[in-house]
Amino acid sequence: MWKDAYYGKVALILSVAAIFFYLIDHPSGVPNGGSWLGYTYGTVGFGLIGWLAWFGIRRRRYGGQGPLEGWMSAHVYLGIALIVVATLHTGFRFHWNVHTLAYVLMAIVIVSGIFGAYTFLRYPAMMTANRAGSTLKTMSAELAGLDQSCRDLALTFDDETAALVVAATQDFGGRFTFREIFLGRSVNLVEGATGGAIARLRDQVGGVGNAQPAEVLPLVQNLTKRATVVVKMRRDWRYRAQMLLWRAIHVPLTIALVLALTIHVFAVFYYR
Amino acid sequence: MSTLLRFIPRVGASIDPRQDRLVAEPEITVGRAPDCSLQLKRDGLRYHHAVLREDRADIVVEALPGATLKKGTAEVARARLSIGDSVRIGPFIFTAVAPDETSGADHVVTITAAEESAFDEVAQAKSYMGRFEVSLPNIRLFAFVTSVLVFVLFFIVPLIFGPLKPGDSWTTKVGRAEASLEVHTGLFHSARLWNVGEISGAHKAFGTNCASCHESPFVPVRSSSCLSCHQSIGQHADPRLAPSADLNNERCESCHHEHKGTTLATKDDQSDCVGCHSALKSVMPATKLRDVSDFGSDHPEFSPSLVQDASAHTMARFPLDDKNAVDNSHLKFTHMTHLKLDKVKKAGAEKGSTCATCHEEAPGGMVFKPVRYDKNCADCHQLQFEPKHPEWRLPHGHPEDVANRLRGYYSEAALRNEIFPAPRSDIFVKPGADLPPPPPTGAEMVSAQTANAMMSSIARSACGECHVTAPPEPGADPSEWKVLPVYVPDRFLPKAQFRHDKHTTMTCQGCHAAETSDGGVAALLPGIETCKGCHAGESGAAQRIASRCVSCHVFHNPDHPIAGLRAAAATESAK
Repeated sequence: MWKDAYYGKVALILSVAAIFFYLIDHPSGVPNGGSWLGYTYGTVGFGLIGWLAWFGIRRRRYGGQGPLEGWMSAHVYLGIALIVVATLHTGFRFHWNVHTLAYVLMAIVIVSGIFGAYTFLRYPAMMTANRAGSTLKTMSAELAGLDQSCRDLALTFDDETAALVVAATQDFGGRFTFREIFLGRSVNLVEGATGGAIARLRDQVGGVGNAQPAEVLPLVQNLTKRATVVVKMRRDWRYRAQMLLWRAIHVPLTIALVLALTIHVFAVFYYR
Repeated sequence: MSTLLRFIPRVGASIDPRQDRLVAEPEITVGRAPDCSLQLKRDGLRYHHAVLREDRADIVVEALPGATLKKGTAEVARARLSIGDSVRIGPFIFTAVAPDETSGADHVVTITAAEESAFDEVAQAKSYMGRFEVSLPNIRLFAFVTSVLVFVLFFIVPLIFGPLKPGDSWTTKVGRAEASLEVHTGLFHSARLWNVGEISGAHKAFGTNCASCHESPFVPVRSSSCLSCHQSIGQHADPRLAPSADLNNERCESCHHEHKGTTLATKDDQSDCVGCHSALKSVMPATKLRDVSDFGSDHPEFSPSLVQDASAHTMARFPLDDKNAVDNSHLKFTHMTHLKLDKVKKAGAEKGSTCATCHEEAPGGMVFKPVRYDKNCADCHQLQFEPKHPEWRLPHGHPEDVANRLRGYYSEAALRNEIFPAPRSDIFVKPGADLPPPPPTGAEMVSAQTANAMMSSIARSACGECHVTAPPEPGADPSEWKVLPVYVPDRFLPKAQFRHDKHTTMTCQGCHAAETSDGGVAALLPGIETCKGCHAGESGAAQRIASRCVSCHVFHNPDHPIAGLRAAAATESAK
């Protein structure tokens, strides 16, 4: 928290003041961006978008005024205040036009930014907790070792069982899905190849096969252990992906937003 | 058959005799299964993989179902091994070699591991590191594509295909009329992409053509655009008396805002009104209007406009409580008499008269239809004039018609030899006095009776019951009694736009004291306190409707057309 959320207070005052003036103002007709208050919101919003977008360039430079940490804090808080100012600027009037397009782009940029800020606040700690002292490298080595021993242990069983176990050692839960990356749903390996192999092995004891429990048990244990490691590694990568992916929305749409905003301002002054 | 299986750990390694195995079976099965005569637990080997059989001096290797063998690079199901031949079974190379004395077997087969363990743990661990790598989308490409889309769809397309340029035809009046109704939708209705909001219903007809109103880029909409259609719109006040209210100095757009929804947004807060009207004398010394700042707290009592000259329809305003108010509508009528329900009844009607017996709402709903004699009065006021012959009635209308009807009646009476004795002041004639002349007969009787009846009908009974009449000039013919012209306006508070149809939740008597009104319009009209029973000022009040100046009053006064703006619009259209 930079200097007791100094910019948080600035943003709060800005938002409260904007809402206050909106409530006491009675423009003729419906509230809209063309009244004096509407122009004021528009000008403040335009300035904020320009300044917030400038942060993207500023953060890549060394030096300059003030610590980058302060800029970052202001970027987040004033970005949230922007959605208040811009919404009041619209007067809650939305249509299929370039004006609403600019608003929607802005809203997506801000929401993605809030998500990004959340990931940077929460995820480093969650990643540390997930790894529980190990690193991705040691987890990989552990996984490779488990796979090797699974394959070795599988040699005792018939071709079909062995093939299932080998398939299970190649089960990493498949591709990342949208649900997993953005909604945090972990994959369930028990429903995949790993589950199939374990079920087959269970049948080997007293079922179709005549294997001894002592032969099956270590293999099942290893498969289960490796599934746990895979889920952990996957989660680690999911956190990394989330910390990177929001920016793939935030940055390109900021550029599109600045363009739509320029067209919006041009259009409303072209047809005054 | 006996076969010596000789294991060599890897290619090129020396033979370790301790690992030799002598198998004395006709068939040797190779596989991972415990029932194989040669059980080898190695990855790549099937549970039951192959079988080796003696065939004269050679050994034949056959793959078991599901397995394959490799001879050289070719996959085969069966291979014959002569001395020196090799076949690959899973990860092992089986080679037939010449038996020597020490072997003590018919055949010798060396078994060599083809390669190191197929599963490389270290390499595998390395590959796992990047196993879950999420490939990031190309941010620069995404930014470029979205920006180009926004720019092309929302700037280039409306700029080229939307009706952005003011039409050339706009400079002439005819061209303007045509252009204003021309529908420009453009490609993909691209004008809509820049449209800030819905155009009001009345303007939608030409709203898709931006240039109908936006004549020049970056220039606010000119009033002349509005006035090219709204030519008769009025000033607010006479600009000679109130120069500060001259609308020639104002833009229409300062009060009327387009693109705000289906109705044109109009400035209707009263701050601008009160700015002048709270102290009107300071800006308009000649005014007769009283000051007002809010309907609820500071609005003068109403002053109804009463008829001064019924023929010229001139009106004058009087305070509502003015006992000396002059009303020259020339009608004798009291609501009190007519609303005595048990007494006043239409012929054949069960119920007595109500308001609706005579008053019918006019189309439009603002006022009522005029009350007409033939429709609303004639049932009761039948204009009979002769008790002996009630079937004879006077016509309602001009005195000449009345005289003609009377003349007709008495002519008929003369033909019947009826005699109408002159009215007498005494019954008995004093002895010695002259006898009164005998009643006239014939033509003499007709004209005498007609004149007599004209006097009585017009002055008293028939016409005079409702109409104000004027006696003839001294010395003039008595038949020249006049019914004075009647004028009853449809509104008595014309400065306000009171709508009866908006007040149908009220009863008539809720505002109009008709049952106690014994004459005079002023007594019948509600005062401001009656309105305040439901209406409060602009800021409203509990259980009261917030009412602004424009809730009742109209801003543009048609008596004072915006001459200057009209002239400007005319000059514009003449170009």
